[in-house]
This record gives sequence, C-alpha cells and structure tokens, in this order.
Amino acid sequence: MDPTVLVPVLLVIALAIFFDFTNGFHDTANAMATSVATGALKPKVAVLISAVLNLVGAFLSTAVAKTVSEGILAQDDQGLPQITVPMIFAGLMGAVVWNLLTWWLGLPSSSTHALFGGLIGAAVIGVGFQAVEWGGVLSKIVLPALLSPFIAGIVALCATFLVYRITRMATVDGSSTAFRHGQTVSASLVSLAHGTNDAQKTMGVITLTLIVAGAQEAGTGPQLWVILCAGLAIALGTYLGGWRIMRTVGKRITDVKPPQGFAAETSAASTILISSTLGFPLSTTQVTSGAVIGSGLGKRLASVRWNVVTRIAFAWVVTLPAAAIVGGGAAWAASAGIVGLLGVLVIGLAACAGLFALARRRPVSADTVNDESLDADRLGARHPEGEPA
Amino acid sequence: MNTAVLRADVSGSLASEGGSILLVFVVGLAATVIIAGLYALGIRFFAVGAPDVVVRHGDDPEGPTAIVAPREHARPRAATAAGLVCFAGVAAAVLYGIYLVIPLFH
Repeated sequence: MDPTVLVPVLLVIALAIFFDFTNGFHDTANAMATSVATGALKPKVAVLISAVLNLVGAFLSTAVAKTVSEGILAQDDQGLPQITVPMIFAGLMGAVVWNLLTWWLGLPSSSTHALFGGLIGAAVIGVGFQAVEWGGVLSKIVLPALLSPFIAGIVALCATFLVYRITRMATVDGSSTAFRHGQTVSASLVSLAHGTNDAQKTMGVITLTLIVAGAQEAGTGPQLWVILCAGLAIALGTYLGGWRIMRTVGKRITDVKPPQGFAAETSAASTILISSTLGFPLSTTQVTSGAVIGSGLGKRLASVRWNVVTRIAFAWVVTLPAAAIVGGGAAWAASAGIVGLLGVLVIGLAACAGLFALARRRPVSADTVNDESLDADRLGARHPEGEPA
Repeated sequence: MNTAVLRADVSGSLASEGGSILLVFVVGLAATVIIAGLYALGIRFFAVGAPDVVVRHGDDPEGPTAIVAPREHARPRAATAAGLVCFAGVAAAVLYGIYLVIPLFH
C-alpha cells in the first residue's frame, strides 16, 4: 500500500481506538454510577466488573459493527457510504474532542451521538448534504434521543414508587442490603449490554475504513485483531473510569439511595435489553440518566436538582451538532492532503491534552467520587430550596 | 431520489419508529414493574417476623437516627417459601436478560 493511503488509514485506526477508550471512560457512569453512589460496590470494584463485562460484551456479537453507518450515511451500489479515509479521520476527531470536553464538564452525553455527529459533519463538508440520510438521522438518532430519557424516567419513577411502597420506605428489615445486591446484578447486565453495543461502533468504523481503503472485502465483518483492540480499548477506558461523570449521575442529579439505585438500574437494564430486542436500540447514556432522574422523582418530587438536569439536557441537544461542526472543520482541513491531515492531528491532540490538563486541576478519583463538598462552585452544587440537608 | 419519495420515506419510517418506541415503553414498563415488584415482595416476605427499622418520618433507614431491632420470632415457613418464589422469578428474568444479550443463544 502506498504511504499516502497507508498513513491516513493507520491514523484512523489509532484515533478510532482512542475514541473507543474515551467511550469507555465516558460511559462507565452509565452502569456503575448509582452502584458507587449507594455503596453497593466499592468504586474500584465497580469499574473492574464493568470493564470485564464490556470486554466480554465486545466478543459476543458483531452484528452492530456491520451496520454502523447504515441508514445514517448514504450508500452507493456496493453498499459503501461516499466517504473517504481522511473524512472518517476528521469525524473521529470531532467525536473525541467533544467526548473529552463533556467529560471535563462531568456531563453524561452520548458517545454514539458524538461519533455520528462527527461523521455527519465530515461527510457534509467533504461530500455534500446528499451524503447523509437525513430521514435516517431523524428516525434513528433524533427521535430516540428525545424520547428515551422520558421512557426510562417514567419506568424508573413507577418502579421506585412501587419498591418504596412494598418495603414501607425501605424500613423493612434487610431492605437496603438486598437492594444493593439487586442493583449490582442489574448494573452488570447494563455493562454487558453496553459492551455488545458500543465497542461494536468502533469496530464498525475501523472495518469501514479498511473497506474504503481497499484493504478488506466489502460486506465482511470486523477482523479478529479489530475486535480485540476495540474490546481492550473500551475495557481499559471503563476501568480508568470517568469519575467526573459518575459523580454527576450518582450524586448530583439526585442523591441515589439503595432502593432508587435498584429501581433505576433495573429500569435501565430492561429498557435497554427490550429496545435492542425489538430492533430499536436506545442510547445507554440517555436511558440510564433518565432512569436516575425518574428514581429521584419516584421517591420525592423535590429531590431532583433540575439545574443539573438542565445542563445534561443541553449537552444532549448540542452533542450531535457540536461534534458535527468539529468534524466538518476537521474534514475541511484534512481535505488539503497530508499536511492538512497532520494539522488536524496536531490541533486535535493539543485540544485533548489541554482538556486533560484542565481536568487535573480539579481531579475526581475513585477516592473522591462520592464527596460532594469538593467543588462547591461547580455543576449542581447549589442546593435548591427544600433540599434535605 | 426525488423529494416526494424522500418525504414519503421519512414519514413512513417515523410512523413505524413511533410505533416501536411505544411498544418499547409498554413492554419495558410492564417488565420493570413486575421484576422490581417481585424483588421487593421477596424482601418483604423474608422480613416477616423481624421488626421494621424505626426512623422519623422521611429519615434515611440507614441514617444515624435509624434504630434496628433484633428479630422477634422465627420466619414462618410459608413466608420463606413465598419469598423464594419471588426471588426465583427475578432470577429467571435475569437469566432471560443474559439470554437476550448473547446472540449465540438465538
């Protein structure tokens, strides 16, 4: 393979694996935030379980990987989207930068939306509006995104109300311990389901790149090394843990108690599994965040911090367009040949390094994940009226 | 693809997506309420004979004000059996969940 093709392909693979890593540590919070908050699992144990289950999940199925861009990017007669390798690189860069920015802000936004946003932006700038299936974007991304938090929220609200009623506000002997055990099981199911979905998206992008570059037959599934790399990257990211986001989901939306954690994770697990089974997969991030909000409402209407919820909702709305803008800008620069591509690489890596440096100024770790007093001037620390002390 | 076809496509797919999302909601709500309810009932059955944790209204049953009293009398056999039935139902649901996640099984 000549170097002008090989270099971009290698860059895409490296960046895709890095994206997968950010996806892992962004989404640890989905499954494990409530378990850490209620003390059902020690923080390090929680991320270890989640990491292992994500790795296992990556090997279970490659169905999603084959159809990663289907219905989102327009395809030609061979079933390939009209996208070039530098455009995929640009799209990934948009996704990575957005993922790190929301991580720094401690906001649980969807990594999938960031990925598709980046690819859509790159495709629009690189090819034009006809390169994107807008109907598919509406029905597969926008509509589920708008509805899934409400669905999960209502389900979790009903479940929380019910378990509190049955256990007389959790005063029945042994309730808290039992709810913690139950929560560990349902959170593990969420992790496994996450692995079967999210690691696949990276595999799909790498496979798409190899096909577009002519290194792999069209219509074939991901190769073993791709599955292995993607699985390990997401597991490593999960293990290192996005403590910043975990604290938002487990402590700031509402202070999650064992019955709520149980109800929220059980709602999330069943909603995610049922939606994938019925062929209408919902975003893990949005389902779990919605379920946590619902579990706060199910206990007492006033115990949800709406200013935190508003920020999260805002991040959800802007994730796709913001990643699209970064991806589009990167695609424009990358279209100027290898120099442009390297420019995108340097600027992108500088942005990532900057965000890591900013995060180190106010670190959140396994030891401080449940400590709310830490950054009193940040996200959601203002206690609204009527908040129990 | 001309605009008329495009529009028909979008509205058609939106209608069907709307239908499936309603189905997800209904099935998800029913399944969650049954599973979480069974688990809570199991806890309740297993606690027969043990006094509730005493807290002031609205206080945390794990908080510093909570008073946990020892068990008053042994759990009746019927309560143990009923509790086990509830937990078995939940365990079956979890196994079905694992079955759904692993495509090798279906």
